Amino acid sequence: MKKTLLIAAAALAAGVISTQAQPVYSQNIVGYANIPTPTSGSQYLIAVPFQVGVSNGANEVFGSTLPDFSTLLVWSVAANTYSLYYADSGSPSGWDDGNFAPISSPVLPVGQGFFLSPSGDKLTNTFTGSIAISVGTSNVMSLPTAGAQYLVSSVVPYAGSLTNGDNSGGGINLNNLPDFSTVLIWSPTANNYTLYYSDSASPTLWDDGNFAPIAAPSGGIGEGFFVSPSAAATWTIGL
Amino acid sequence: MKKIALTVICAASMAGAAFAQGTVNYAAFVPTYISFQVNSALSPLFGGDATTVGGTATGLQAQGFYYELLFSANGATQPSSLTALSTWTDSTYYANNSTASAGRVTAGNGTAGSAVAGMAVGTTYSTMVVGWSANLGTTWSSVLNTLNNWDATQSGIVGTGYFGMTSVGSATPAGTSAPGVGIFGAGSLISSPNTQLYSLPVPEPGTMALAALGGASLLLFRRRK
Repeated sequence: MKKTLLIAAAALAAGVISTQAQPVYSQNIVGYANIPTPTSGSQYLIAVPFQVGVSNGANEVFGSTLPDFSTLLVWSVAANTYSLYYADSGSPSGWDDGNFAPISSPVLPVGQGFFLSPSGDKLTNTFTGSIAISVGTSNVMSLPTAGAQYLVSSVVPYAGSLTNGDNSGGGINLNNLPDFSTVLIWSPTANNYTLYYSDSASPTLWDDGNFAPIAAPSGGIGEGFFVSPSAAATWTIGL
Repeated sequence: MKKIALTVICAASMAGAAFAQGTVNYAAFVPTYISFQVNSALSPLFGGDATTVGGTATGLQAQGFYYELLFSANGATQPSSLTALSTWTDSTYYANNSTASAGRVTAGNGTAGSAVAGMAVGTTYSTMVVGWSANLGTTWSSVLNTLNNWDATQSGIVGTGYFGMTSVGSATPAGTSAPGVGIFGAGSLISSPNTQLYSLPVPEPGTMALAALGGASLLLFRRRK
């Protein structure tokens, strides 16, 4: 009995030592992305692809890089409209509301798109932070209301076709949307959206605004776009 | 300098707000909620039966059909007469039949951010889409005029004219930025799949003959004189 206890204690100790001896790696991947917004006054539909600072507040994301009176338009799904924010170095928080009253920094969470209109030319926004999900995990975004407009972006900095990938691996993986859900891709040069319908009867699974089959929409890292599901849907992105 | 810039921006935004026109999304025509069929039954506006359904999906000819967004004060119902129809306001945003899929609709000049003159932000309006065959005209003002003067104008229409109205929905523009509030969908929005475009009256052969006879008589009378 005493021998058994000794062996057990030795095994436990060895286990603990072995565990402690393992090098510890962070599951978080850090990185940076450069998102150019080159033309003053143009509207760019972008997103912050990383977790930045404590809360992804605009003050943490942009620091003091934005020229005064650059604007952010932050979308509200429930209100179906935007809240307007001005960058203002004279404001205590660095931000004003649409009435130029100081206001706390807007929060720009990963996975949410927003419009940035810079008040100066040749601006490149460098976002530095950690990827929102850990390796081997996935994020499920809920799009619960049919017909609502969700201003979203990939929670992992992927680029390419919105339908690349699957639930467990990489890729944007905006697949399995109910038929006739819509995606709006913004063009800052045309100042307008391109409309896509999801359509399981289409050879490409997507139609253009005339219901003719078309290649799946695509997006770049840090790009936002609107999704309006025709029925409650979810969007899974893995890493 | 900063103060001046602030004042200018403030004044500009206040001026903009004073004339703010609500934005709607007149680009996404989800076929679950809006599509059209042509129906040989007579238009209810000219005495036909509004319950007749089962037409065939509109064809694929480019700009064969036009669809225009109208709005009215909240609570308006689908017009049962041309007089009532004339009270609805034209948004000037139109769409056409899809050339790729029968019965469906594709944007004309409407976009995912159509600022509608006369629709104020925060106000609820009744909304409706009217549809017609292109042989009636290409603008709603001319088509409404044609309908209101049908007895006099019908002889100028080549082929059968078709006209119809979707169900009435409601929309409250929430802001002035795109994509704007959706118009089509479940609940209080326009939900009108297979909207019937009914045929408009054609002159009776007897009436045509009488008219021709009258014209000939007049000519004869004039010659003899």
